[in-house]
Amino acid sequence: MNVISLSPLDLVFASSLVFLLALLSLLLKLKLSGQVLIAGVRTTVQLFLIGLVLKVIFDQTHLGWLSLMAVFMLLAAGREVVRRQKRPFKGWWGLGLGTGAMLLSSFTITVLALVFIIQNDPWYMPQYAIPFLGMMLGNTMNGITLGIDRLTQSAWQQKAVIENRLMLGQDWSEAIGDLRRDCIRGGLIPILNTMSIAGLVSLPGMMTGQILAGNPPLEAVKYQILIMFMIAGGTGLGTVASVWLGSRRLFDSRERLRLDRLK
Amino acid sequence: MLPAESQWWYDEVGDHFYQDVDIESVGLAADVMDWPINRLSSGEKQRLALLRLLQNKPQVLLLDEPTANLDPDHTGKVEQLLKSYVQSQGAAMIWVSHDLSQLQRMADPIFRIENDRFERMSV
Repeated sequence: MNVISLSPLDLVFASSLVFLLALLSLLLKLKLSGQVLIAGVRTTVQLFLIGLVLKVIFDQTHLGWLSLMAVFMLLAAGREVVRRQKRPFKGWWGLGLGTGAMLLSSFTITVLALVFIIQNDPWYMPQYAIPFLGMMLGNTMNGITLGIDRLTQSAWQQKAVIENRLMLGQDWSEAIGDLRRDCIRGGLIPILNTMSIAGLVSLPGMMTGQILAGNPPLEAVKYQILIMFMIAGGTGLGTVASVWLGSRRLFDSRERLRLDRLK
Repeated sequence: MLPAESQWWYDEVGDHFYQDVDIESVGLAADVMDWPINRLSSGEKQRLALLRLLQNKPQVLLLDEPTANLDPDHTGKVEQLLKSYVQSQGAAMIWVSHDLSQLQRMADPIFRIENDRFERMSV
């Protein structure tokens, strides 16, 4: 591989762009200078830390360390899902719904791909497992967040419609059925967009990385197609699961709409 | 159960019905089934909501002001429809209204809530 190693000086040059942006925001009175600088520092520190962690994990190839990392990634993504909600579920359901759906979709599909497609020995080779899981979590997160957010918000707005349907004797699943379909559709729009424009508008990040690292473009393309399909499957599974479970949670055992279960 | 304000979730009236109903019994023309929901007045919605409810053949009717938006002519039609439904199906009916003379036509016994008390009225 013919990677051109970056020297610290190279990064210092690049950082001058961030300082320039901070200066610009100062001149334009955007009141963003502080945030720009902090964000720049965060990028540097967080990425170096994760670089160190990855170095340790890659040197060990130990399932325990890998699992710890995976759980940390999952919880970080789950927390992000809750934070994006306007009306999250109360209590453990808030964190549990998104996290559970991501666990179901991202983890199963990543493990399946590692075991049956990549076929490393051992299958959990961190060089593959961690980036795969990261991309799966990052992308299924979008679908799940959009799905749940839309579900809870539209249930809130369409309370009267849902209750009128219950009054006409429809069961909970029928009463919220149309709304649920819309939410699942909404959750799948980003990945459908990404798949449709892949390569036309932007080169996907993983492919770009492989090309920069000196891999033949067609090899990079194959990996990108694999990961795209995994993401599509994972987003579909995760969105359906989270919207379905979430819609069930909106009704109690007597099939009453329980908006009080939302914050 | 018929709420005071009905809700409609599909684009056209006909999509809310799963079997043929007697539209003329509430004084509407048959082509109302092809109308978009936003063309309906509140009175038309109220009459259609009642028909939509009756297609389920409920044994107990809970009606919240079922004629609140209707003129006397249509009120009479709705009362007639409900009376014949109750008789033919042997259904029970609980009718909430502010119109005492209507209650006397439609219900027996009549209760009222006054000063936090629920009491039977002697008519």
